[in-house]
Amino acid sequence: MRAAWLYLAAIVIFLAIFTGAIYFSIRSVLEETWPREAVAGKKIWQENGCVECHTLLGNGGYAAVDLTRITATTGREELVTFLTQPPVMRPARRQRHPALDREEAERLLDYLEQVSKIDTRGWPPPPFTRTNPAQGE
Amino acid sequence: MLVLLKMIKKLFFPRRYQEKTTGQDTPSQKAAYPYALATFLFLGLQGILATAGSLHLIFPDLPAPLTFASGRAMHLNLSIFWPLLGVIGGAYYFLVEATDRELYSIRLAGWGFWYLLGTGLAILGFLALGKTDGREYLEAPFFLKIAVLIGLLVFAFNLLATAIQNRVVVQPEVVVILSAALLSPLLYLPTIFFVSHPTVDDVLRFLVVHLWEEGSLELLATTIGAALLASLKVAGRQKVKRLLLWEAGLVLTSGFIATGHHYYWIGTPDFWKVIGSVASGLQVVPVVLLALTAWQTTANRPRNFTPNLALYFFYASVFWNVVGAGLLGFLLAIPTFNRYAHGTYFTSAHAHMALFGFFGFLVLASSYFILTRRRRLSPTHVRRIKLSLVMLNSGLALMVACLIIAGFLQSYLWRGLGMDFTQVHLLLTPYLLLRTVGGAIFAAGGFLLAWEMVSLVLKPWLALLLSSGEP
Repeated sequence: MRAAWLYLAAIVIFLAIFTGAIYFSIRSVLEETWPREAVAGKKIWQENGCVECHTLLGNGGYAAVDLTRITATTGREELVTFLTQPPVMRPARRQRHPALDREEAERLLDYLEQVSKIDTRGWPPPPFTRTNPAQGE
Repeated sequence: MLVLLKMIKKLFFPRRYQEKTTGQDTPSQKAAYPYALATFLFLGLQGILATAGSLHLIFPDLPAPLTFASGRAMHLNLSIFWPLLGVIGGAYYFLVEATDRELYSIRLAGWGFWYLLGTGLAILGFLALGKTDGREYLEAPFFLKIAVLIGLLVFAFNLLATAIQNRVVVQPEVVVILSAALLSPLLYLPTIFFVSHPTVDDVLRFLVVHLWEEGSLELLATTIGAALLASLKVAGRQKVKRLLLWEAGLVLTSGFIATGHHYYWIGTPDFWKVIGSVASGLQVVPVVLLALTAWQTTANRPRNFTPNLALYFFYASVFWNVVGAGLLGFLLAIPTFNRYAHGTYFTSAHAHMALFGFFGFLVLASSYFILTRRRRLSPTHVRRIKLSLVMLNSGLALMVACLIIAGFLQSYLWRGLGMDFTQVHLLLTPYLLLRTVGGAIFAAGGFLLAWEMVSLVLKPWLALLLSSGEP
């Protein structure tokens, strides 16, 4: 009986602490206003299920590269071309990356540009050595 | 020819039960049967779908009825959906068992199943057609998420009304079940709306992805597990009750804050790295408690005691909890390690061990117990269930071992040495192929299990139909 009340009290207290911590950590983010294009881009990201193969902020599928910093490392024109005239994806011989039309591709990149500005606190980590840079082909 | 047919018939339809002992399940408990059966069916479907998907990942050119994205979305949603069904059924069943009272509304529990089943199938249908909400684990379209929420609320209401009507609210099992049942819709609610900022989106998403499993559903599952141990008479009721509250308290106090290990790199402040890793370390305590209890039950049980096979499912669950959630989860929660392992196949290995290994097996234990408790089972059935258990566990072990190797290679080559992602992924092919083999063993085991359970339940009905046909 007493244990049951103690348990309930523990739930309420920890739920409150947890909610408080969450509020505290997203407070600054909630105040940011994102351009409408970027929000439209997020809808395109969701509708096309990009997350099933790609990760964003490290969360998502494991089949394709993380896109958190893609706009910082690759030119916009190149990315638009990639999305509108998608190439065959290794290891496939025929299967192509899903295609978007130009407008959708631009909005999606607006979104990814905003994402690349998020301060991820030291992730992704820099490689151990500098002799083989991250984008080396 | 006829002999061959008979052999085939015997292979697929052996007599699974010898006789049904006089039914002691109350009508309320019978309402939990469909929930229990559905978990096995969805497990069978899940294994086949996932194995096909893992093959599609390595050979993208293979003709497939679904796109990889649809298949994966279905796989993820199934992985939450059937444990949810099983947990709801188990909660109904063991609440009745613990209180000796009927449910507030048996009809609500019965119709709730068909409602949730319809919702789940609709979600799978939409995902198969590529209509996705595009957030990992929460891909269901908006109106179907509302439908799931309503289903959860009805479930929580039914339990609450039962407890209040019978004035048993502060009984330990009941209080844990109730708090968990109320938590799940509460945690689900913030995740059904569109959020524009990915940081906020991910923070909310893990309320379901992490806290359903480690919080509300785990509470329900541990209650069910404890009640299971008591019903199997391998642990004293009083002892189980004490253990339950201990465990529940630890799960919750560390569980909420341990969600922090998902908040390291998504744009949230650094303090999550400290409290997330400490709380994740504490989470190992309930795991050890559970393992100790399981160990004691093996030591204490009387000689020539033949347990219900549900106990083996329970042991499997404890094993994967210690290995997957305990060991690997603890390792992954160390921020310096997680920095390299985040977003690699390590996550996938952990998810499979925690979600199926620990949680899935626990749900299967309860579902199996519910369906077989009142039946005396034939040796054929017992042998086949044991075989399927071996297959499920060895398949999962092979799968997870491959994923851990793949995750290690990814962390080292891609993150550590900075090699190109696609190059590294091509290097992983042998391990991913071996993972598919593990998946195939798993899927075969899951299919066998589903087949056995369906035949076990359908046989009496078929017998009824046949006897009415032949006077």
